[in-house]
Amino acid sequence: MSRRLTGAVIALIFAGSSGSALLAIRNTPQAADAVKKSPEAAVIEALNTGLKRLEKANQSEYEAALKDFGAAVNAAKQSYMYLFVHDRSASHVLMKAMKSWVAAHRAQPRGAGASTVDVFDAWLRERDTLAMSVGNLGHNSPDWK
Amino acid sequence: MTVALGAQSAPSEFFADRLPRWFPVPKIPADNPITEEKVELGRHLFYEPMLSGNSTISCATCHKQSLAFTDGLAQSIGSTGGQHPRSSMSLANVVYNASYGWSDRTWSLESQMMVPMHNEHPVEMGLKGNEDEVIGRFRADADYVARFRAAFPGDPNPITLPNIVKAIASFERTIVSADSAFDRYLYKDDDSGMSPAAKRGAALFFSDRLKCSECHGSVNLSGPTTFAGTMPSDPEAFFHDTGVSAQPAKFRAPTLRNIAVTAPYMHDGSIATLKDVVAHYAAGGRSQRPKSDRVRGFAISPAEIDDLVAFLHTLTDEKFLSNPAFSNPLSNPDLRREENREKRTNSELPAWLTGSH
Repeated sequence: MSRRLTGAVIALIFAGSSGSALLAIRNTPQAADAVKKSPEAAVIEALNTGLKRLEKANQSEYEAALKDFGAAVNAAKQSYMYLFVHDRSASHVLMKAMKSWVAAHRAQPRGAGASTVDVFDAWLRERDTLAMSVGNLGHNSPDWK
Repeated sequence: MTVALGAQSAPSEFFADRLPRWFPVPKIPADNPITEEKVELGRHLFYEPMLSGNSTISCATCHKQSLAFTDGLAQSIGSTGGQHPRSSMSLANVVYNASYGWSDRTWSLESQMMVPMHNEHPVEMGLKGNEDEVIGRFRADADYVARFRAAFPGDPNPITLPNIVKAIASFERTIVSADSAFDRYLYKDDDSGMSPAAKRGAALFFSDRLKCSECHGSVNLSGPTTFAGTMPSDPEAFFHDTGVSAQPAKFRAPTLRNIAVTAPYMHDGSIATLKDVVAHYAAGGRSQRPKSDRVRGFAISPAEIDDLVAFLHTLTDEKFLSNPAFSNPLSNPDLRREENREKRTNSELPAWLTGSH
């Protein structure tokens, strides 16, 4: 799987997110830039964007911001699952990046946002353990010919 | 767009809609390219009792779809009632097998198929000495004549035993099981079919303590597999002595896909339940004689055994067990089998037929 194709797919995953915060990426020069980004860069950027919006949201904006953050987390999961199937080594890189992000930011979200991060963290641990376990199931090559 | 009968396509194209993305493209032998017509002919032949010498059994007699293409017996029974020393192996994902049979050194479906067809000790399909009669049955059947012509276009005499073998092998190559609860969990992040016990069991299966995946790995959770890539350089690496037999004997590790429906277990069907299989390996095999260094024994609690068995149950692909693409296309096959029962050369009906086993 070429890096460019992977980047394009990841960009599409995020463009398809229901999060309004991520709509900024759609149909903009950023969309073209997203193709050039590594998957982990695209995912981390989206998580940071969602978290930042959540932190700055006032009471009336909070619910929408929380929904956007949740969408960013879901898109991150989808990106990982896509890579897990298509490019296992890239999925390991993304997993490492997401775990580092959680470790660095888990104290930041307030209220329901903290719960979102906790659930995300639990999901990462489970998926990471599973990925490490099934290394010999013969799917490491991204392209079968 | 007009598509020629028997049109060949590259394996990647043929399997594009038949395989999930996480399954590799299978190897297809150059001398038996796969086509839709050949597969469909093969499916008919697979379920066709006319293919056996006395017209009483078909491939499907020992390879029932509902049992993941095994037969539920400890040791299979041939067309004349003879008991085979081996248990019927599942045909799920055989296209990825690096070798065929429990201990045979056969490396293709085509060569493996000759064994049940011509075996005399015991007689299985009973073709040996009856080839002309069997071929004659198909030549006298207008439907089969048409199917053979479609599957082997350009062949002036398509109804031959080699072509029968090629067609059945082509059908068998499409028998793919890839949608178990564990597959959905692993590749689709869908854990609806994975209980907490099954998840713990998965961790045990892949653990360094038990090392189940050391012998049951790759796409098929089996011994060595092959696809569009390379084969292991040492074929003997395919076979291991797991301490089931009293005497040294090496066998291939079969797939664990759908293992919950393929009891009894081992090459001789001597182990009845999955719990007993786990106990066998935990004990390091049945005897103290030297065996594979992969059968080392391990410590496991009763609760962990339950978890491991729960995981093994998640390897069942329910859709596969009734997928119409692999099902019997013939009408009234049981009726035909009953009609031919009187032709059996063995005057004593075996217990499996009378239901007393």
